[in-house]
Amino acid sequence: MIKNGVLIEDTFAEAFGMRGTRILITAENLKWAYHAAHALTGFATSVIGCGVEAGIERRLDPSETPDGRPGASVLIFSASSKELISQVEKRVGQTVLTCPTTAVFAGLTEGDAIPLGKNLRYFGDGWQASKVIDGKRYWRIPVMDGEFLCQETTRMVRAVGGGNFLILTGNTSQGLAAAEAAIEAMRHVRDVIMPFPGGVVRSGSKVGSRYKTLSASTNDAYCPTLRSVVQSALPNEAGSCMEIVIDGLTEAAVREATRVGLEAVCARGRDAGVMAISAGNYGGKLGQFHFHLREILS
Amino acid sequence: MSALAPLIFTAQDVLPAQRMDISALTPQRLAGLPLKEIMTLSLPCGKRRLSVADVFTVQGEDTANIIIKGAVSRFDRMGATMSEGSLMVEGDAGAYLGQGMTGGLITVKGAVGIFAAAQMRGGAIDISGDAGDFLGAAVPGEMQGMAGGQVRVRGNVGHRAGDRMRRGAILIEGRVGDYAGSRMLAGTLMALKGCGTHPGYGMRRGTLIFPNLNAIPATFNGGDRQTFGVLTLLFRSLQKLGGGFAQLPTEPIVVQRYLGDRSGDGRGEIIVAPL
Repeated sequence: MIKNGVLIEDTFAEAFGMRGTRILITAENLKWAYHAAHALTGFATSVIGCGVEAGIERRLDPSETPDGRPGASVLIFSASSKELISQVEKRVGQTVLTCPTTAVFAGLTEGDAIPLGKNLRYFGDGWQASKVIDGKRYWRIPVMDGEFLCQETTRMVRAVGGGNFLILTGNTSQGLAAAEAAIEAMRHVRDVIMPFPGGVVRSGSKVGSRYKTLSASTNDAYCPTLRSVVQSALPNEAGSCMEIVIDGLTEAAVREATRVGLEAVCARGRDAGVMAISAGNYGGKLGQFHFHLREILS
Repeated sequence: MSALAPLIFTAQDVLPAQRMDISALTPQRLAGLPLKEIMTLSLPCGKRRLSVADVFTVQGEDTANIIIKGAVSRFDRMGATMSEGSLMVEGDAGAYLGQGMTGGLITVKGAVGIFAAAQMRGGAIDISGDAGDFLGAAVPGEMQGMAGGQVRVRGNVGHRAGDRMRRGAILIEGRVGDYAGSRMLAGTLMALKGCGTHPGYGMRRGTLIFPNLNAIPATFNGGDRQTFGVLTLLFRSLQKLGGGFAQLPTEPIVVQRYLGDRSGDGRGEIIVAPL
């Protein structure tokens, strides 16, 4: 399949079942909501080293938030429910509780309840107070700028992590431009995040390593500098490869984000240096979700 | 909606002069009973016992949806311990309306007497008229008053509302009398037209919300102007009730907050808000 001069390889992305949650952060203004959201989702690119994968899903207008203030919606994913529960509490405690004027709420109404402010309340040293409003419990914790308001729990659902595609371009500048265009379009899709910096990852990995202690190592088949010495997957003229990784609350959302991203890359076309689009998989044996590129674009 | 016709109890024109205990007429106590048996249920009246047939004419069949017509202020304990369904009282209600109620909805088209919603645990009560003293309170000998659910009063309320209240919400569109929220343990009491003297007397925790205070109780501290996100959430939720609550501010507002009662545990709050 060739679209606008871009070869769509006959392959698929292999994604895994994860646990995910959404939380809503509000603040006096968008600037402070984003300070908290950026800090909360910082160092959360890959579950391998960070415990969770997290990102800002979208901006929230005051009309969309429980307390009528501007905010940000954040998605957090982990491989295990235990890790997710632990990371949500740690991250909210260190980055939202600490950030001036913020409040935090559950962003899902279905799923298993996991602690959000349930244990953070003890920071109030006995001065914390709760209110149950419409069946939901909120904690009010006195802090130095007034009161930190947090919902007692958020919800955890089964989610999908590791959807991906690879953009093969003539050089790095073309790769960045194509990846940025894809991310720009994908940010409008609900229920997904692209957890890497700017949504893009350049250190795609393969399973295994020549070093026993490492479970993953550089994806040499896509490294342009190794083209002449390994069995390369890069076309002859390709000088750069960028990967976009997608985590979503549902398989449908990851599929839609993949489609939107692929369309945006294809729209740039061969003239902008985009040669091919591929995807990462493990032969289909490890992940339960498969996203076939050609099927998604057909 | 149930296709069955509501079960309607219409009070006889001439009623006994004594007070009567009507607590037998709740959805869960009548569920599954044939009309014949319902008519023979006994209702304590003074030192006697009357049957339902002595006091009411009955029609309809849906025991989950009960209407009591022609109710008078001598009808005590209506909806007491009710756990499900709907009870509509057309007329006035006596003492202990919905005492110990755990679920369902009681609607009263008139006024209610003392100790309405005493020790209520869940469900909702909507009173069109006024309510007497000790609304949502603990009856003598009990350590906790209302501990769940929501009471809405469209008129005014007497003294000692929310005495020893533990949880839930008392929402008053009119005024509340003296000692509102006395000895309160937690929960929310709000009166859109203000309160009498000594609000929050001896309160430990919980929230009282009024548009103004005649005098700040001597054992309450504070009064700084602050904004509380939780009020926005609360007001947004209450706005759905309509009536006087439809006017509540739904954007963040500046309020004055007093902490007390400092003669006791003192973690309760009186919030004076532009309602």
